Amino acid sequence: MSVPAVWPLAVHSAMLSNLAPADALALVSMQNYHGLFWQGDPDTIAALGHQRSIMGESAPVVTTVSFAPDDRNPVDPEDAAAAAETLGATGVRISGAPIRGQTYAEAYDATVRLCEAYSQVAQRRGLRVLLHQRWGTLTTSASQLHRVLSNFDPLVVGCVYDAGSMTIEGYEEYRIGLEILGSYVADVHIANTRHFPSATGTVWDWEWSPLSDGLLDLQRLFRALRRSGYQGWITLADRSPGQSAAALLDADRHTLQQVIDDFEGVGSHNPLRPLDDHVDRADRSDRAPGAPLEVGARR
Amino acid sequence: MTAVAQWPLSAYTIALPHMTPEEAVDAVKAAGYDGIEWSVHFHGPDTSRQPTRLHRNDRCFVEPTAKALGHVRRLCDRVGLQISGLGLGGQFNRREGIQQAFELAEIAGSRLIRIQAGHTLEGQSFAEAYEASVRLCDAYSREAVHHDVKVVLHQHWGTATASASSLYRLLSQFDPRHIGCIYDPGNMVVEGYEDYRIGLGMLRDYVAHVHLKNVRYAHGLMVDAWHREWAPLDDGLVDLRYLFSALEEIGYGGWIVMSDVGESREEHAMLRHNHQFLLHEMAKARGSGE
Repeated sequence: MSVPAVWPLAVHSAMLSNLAPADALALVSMQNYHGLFWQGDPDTIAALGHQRSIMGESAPVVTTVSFAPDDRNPVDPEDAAAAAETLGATGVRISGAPIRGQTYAEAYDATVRLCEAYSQVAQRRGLRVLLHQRWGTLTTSASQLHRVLSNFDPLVVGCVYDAGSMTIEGYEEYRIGLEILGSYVADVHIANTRHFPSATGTVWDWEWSPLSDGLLDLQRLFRALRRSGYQGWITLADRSPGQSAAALLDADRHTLQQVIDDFEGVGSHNPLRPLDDHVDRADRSDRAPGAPLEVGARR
Repeated sequence: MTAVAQWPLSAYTIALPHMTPEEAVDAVKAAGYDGIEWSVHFHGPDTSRQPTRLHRNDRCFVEPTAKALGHVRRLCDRVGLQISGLGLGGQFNRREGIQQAFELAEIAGSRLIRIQAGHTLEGQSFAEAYEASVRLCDAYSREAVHHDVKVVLHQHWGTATASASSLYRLLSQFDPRHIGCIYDPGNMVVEGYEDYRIGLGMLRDYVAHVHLKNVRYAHGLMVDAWHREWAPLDDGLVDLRYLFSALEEIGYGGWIVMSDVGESREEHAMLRHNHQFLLHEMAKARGSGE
């Protein structure tokens, strides 16, 4: 048997978009994920809440609610907070303002105002607002997220640190980004993309890809998460096409468990780069003392 | 149609490792550039048997001495090429290097000197690298008050200023008349990429210089995570048309420095090709109506 996960695993509902609420919840639970990051249409909340009550203790936790489309905030703060309460979620996810079509200053002001509006409602109801690190918005990088979030109490406004989105836009070294954001990090999303020459121009294009085939470096990410002391949810948001939700959830859980366990030689570590955790094996609390040094270990 | 550059074009000599400074000046001028940017480094003390290639046995480095910089200034003056800036080596990213940095700029007649923020690659915390960089920028900008030379902090992966947001966090404490940045879209494909309108819209007056190179991603052997590699200027993730329209939006008035390290073409051909390609992309950017 493998070592239990240090971090609880959740599933983004974008991976379950073809399933009815009952089937989605059952699949998440059957695949041994404990949480559901729910994003969808306000009309389906009642059905989802009803199904959770039928399942009782066996239902996955709804970690956060969010409303499609992913790069907009179509539901007003009161309704979003009410939805979170209905589903027993502690987080309300919001998207930063789009950068196209307005100036940086306008997008920044709009994003801060948005956080203010949601935070007032959330604080009253004991919820936490999560500003999403998302490509195409103002807040694509950890540093830009920090510029917005530093106006707020991290207990009231936090963020979704999105390792998938940052393969498209906003990548800063995981260890550095997590240090900058500190206690603002409330959820970590996992997805992947790969890039390829465009068929029509000189600028490369991208597409969603499996966890093992793209810029995402899971082993490096999880070492950085361990180092930062992060203890919250890991939310799988794999959008790679071609497989059923059940097959993806199964394969990805194995991949995640491998990187969480930090098996030597398994996972996605790129040997051309140091792992950047700079913690000797012997000093790691999750390692037995006296374990032999790995070949090529630094220092 | 003869395209006219919207901004003066320069070529950075790290892209020309096979040329001597004398050859570089003639080739850059002949290819149509307005300026040249010198990479100022000592040649490494270990003589490798490797032939010259990128960052190995560079022939085009100008050593950080009064004699060497006086020499390249005379070479440039002779053909009418401006020196757009000096890319100073690592020994200038310390307080002890400040006096010499300004002396070399005056000898070369360069209005810009490049420095880099603290490294984050080797286990340093962001806090350590950032604090060291604040002290360095403070010392440089105090000295710059006494010179007609602007200090430019290079946006660079593996440093405390990989993204435009992190550059702004640092630079916003200083006067943009004395210290600004090199906005580097190629470096940010390695680390720090944010939509150009985010970075340029935030940095605005701090954007003093622009370097252009390209990077693409590739699937390595026996690993899952892809890696980054240098690419020719016209084959990677940098979107030059969008960049040029974003530069126009903030009224950018500085240099565009061609810094192609993709090693795809012989260097004379690369200089000519990229000059034409940049003019073409500038024209397309204006034609797009953005």
